[in-house]
Amino acid sequence: MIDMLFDQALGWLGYLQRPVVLEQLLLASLALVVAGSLRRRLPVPLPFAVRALPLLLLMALPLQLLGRPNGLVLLLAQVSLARIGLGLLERFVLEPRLPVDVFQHLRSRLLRPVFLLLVVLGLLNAVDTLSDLATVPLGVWFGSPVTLGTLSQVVVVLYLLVVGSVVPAAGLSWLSGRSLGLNKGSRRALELVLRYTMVSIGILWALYHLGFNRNGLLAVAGGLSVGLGFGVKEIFSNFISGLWLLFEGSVRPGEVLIIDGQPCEVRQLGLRATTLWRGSDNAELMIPNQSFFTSTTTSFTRSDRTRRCSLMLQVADRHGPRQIMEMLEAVAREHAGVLAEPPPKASLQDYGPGTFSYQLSFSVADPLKGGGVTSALRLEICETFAEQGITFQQPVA
Amino acid sequence: MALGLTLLAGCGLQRHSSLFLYEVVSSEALSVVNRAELAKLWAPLLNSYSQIDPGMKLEIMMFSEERITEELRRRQARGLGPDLIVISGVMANDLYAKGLVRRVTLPPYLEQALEPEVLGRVRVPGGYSALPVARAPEVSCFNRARMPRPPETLAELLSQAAAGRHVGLSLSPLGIWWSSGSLGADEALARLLTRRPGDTTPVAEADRRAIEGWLRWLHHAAMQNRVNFFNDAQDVNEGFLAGHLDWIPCSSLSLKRLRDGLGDRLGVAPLPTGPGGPPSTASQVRVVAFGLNSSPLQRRKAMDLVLLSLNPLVQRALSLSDAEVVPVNRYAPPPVASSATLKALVRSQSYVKSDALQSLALSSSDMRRISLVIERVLTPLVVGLGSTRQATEQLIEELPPR
Repeated sequence: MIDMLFDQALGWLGYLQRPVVLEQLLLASLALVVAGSLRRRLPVPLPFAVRALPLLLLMALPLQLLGRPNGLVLLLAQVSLARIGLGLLERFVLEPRLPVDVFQHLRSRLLRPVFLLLVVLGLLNAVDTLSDLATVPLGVWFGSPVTLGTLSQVVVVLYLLVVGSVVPAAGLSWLSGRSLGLNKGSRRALELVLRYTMVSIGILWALYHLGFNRNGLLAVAGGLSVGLGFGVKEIFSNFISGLWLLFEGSVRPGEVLIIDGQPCEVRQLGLRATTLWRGSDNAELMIPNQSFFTSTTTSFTRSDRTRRCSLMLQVADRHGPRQIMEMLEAVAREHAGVLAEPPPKASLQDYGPGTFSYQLSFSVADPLKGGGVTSALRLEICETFAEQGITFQQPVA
Repeated sequence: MALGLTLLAGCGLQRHSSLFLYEVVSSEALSVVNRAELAKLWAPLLNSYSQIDPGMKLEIMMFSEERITEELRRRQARGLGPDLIVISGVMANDLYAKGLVRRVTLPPYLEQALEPEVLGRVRVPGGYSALPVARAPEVSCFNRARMPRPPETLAELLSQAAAGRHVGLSLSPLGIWWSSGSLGADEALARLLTRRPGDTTPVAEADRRAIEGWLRWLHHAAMQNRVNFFNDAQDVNEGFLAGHLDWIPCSSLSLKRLRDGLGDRLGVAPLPTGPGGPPSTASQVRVVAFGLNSSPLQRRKAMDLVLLSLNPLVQRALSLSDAEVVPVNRYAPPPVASSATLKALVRSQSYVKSDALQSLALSSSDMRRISLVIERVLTPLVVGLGSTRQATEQLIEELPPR
């Protein structure tokens, strides 16, 4: 197959035997080199395509006047023009209207690759015919003849589906969320399920388009099952775990889990791993999906999003416990970050030599803010104790 | 970069040169034939040529007849046009008139060796618009499993239809013109088509009667349950391949595809004769035209290759290959004893008259115009609307003088 394609490409070099082709390439190369060298000499920095376009047109002019073919130079000028158009579209239409991450995703994953693909196809169609190249046979796969055209079509469609399904899936999940009253986490889960569904349908279409018959699919499945037993077991396990988590809804984007004692928010449920964000150090954790099946996970958002927090303190035994407990509950009640229901609760935990141990429990609405509220309460307790002349007592070891 | 490419061209490519060949086929053929199959058809010629020039490669590309003019304009403007274009004689003349192919001359010995009628189709002032390489006459194709013996006359064709065999005919000029010969109307039609613009001479009564007789037979045939008329030859071929039709007129250029579909069940025979004599069989001439962008070396090699293809031995080899065509070199008698199909082709070729539709030097736009008129006039007739008299008058009125 490679030999055949190489042989095909070698055949195109026959164009280089033609003076009319060589003179165009020479002039086009000259234009591109000059455009490159102008980069730092212009007072205003201009993109390469903007510098190259007028030079290419300038080079095409003498050929036109001499009645010589200049279509190759003009073809490169067209590519430059299209590149300028793409740049304008990105800069003045998309960038101001889209969030930064969406714009960058769209540009790097969709617009630029599609532009590059169209340029390559255009150049191939210039030296050959795409319809003929599409019929180049690549061999027989599982009893079905596969051509370069069908394979390329499948690769391009699958790529566009993987990259381009983001927007329609998000739109559908938003609509469903609005009509069904789903929360943010459920909407994001639905979005992922929709994307995986689209990609799965695309894969089935691809296999059908490639002409895979049932026997072929069974053979693939057989080979895959052997592979699963060895090399790709972990990957497959993580993939299935990811799908399971989505459908079960136990771990969804937006949920707050305790990982290594720290509350973390689930940001993205991927095919292989789940991405979590840890607020204490602004770190992103990539946790393999199967970890959620093999270890205990603490969630603060499984049935509701409130978190019960607590703090411990020791006070000298000369202060009455009832007075201390009322004071602690009053401080907690007055703090804006503490929920009124369930109410804050102080309790006497232990007697020590010269000290009493207390615990203050309270609820917060946002699990990720538990640490911040706890710290604020400690500060207010310190200030209140200082005003009342109450002293903390270090526990005696 | 250009310097590198120039050096590459100068050093490495001289030994391994390429010629770019465009094969221009109907849009029907374009959808079913691929490059690899075409390469096989050219293989015998390339094998012979490789003895002279071992490093030569032939890059084959396919285009439809509808697209070729536009493609040639675009590609030749880039210097990436073909060295050779395999095309029908009519289209080669069109391309020459548009300045898209160059005129060539033939050595006198070869001029004398080629069929004069075929050469006449591509003659232009000072030379030729292309060089003919093969003829592809129209024949009849039948399904041996359903029709053990092909009809030899029009009467037999209708009686076979009455006996339960399904016949397919197309309303395209080439699909129906043959029957005008069998019914003695071909010369009258040729006179109609070759009228000079502004010619007000009334059509001779004998010609009018001959044309009406031809239309009467078509009307009569259409009334048969198992005689089916289609708008174009592609539908007829599809119906034949699907097993819905047992007998159809077909071009020898489509024999390979039909054979791939039917295998040994495919039978090939000359088209039926009739009371007016032999059928006015159409014969497409495949010619090779020369592109404008070739380097001097490529021009020389392209001409060498075409001249080699006209060699009697190569012509015989081509007629025996999958191409199934009739040679244009008079000194290359086709080996009819080795192939029943070739025998049918040669016999059909002998029916081709000097006043055959494709010998009238009509341009492709003339053919399109004729095609539209024939379809417009004959469609009501074969579905039972209107009389043959009306259709005759309409045909005489609408077939436009060139």
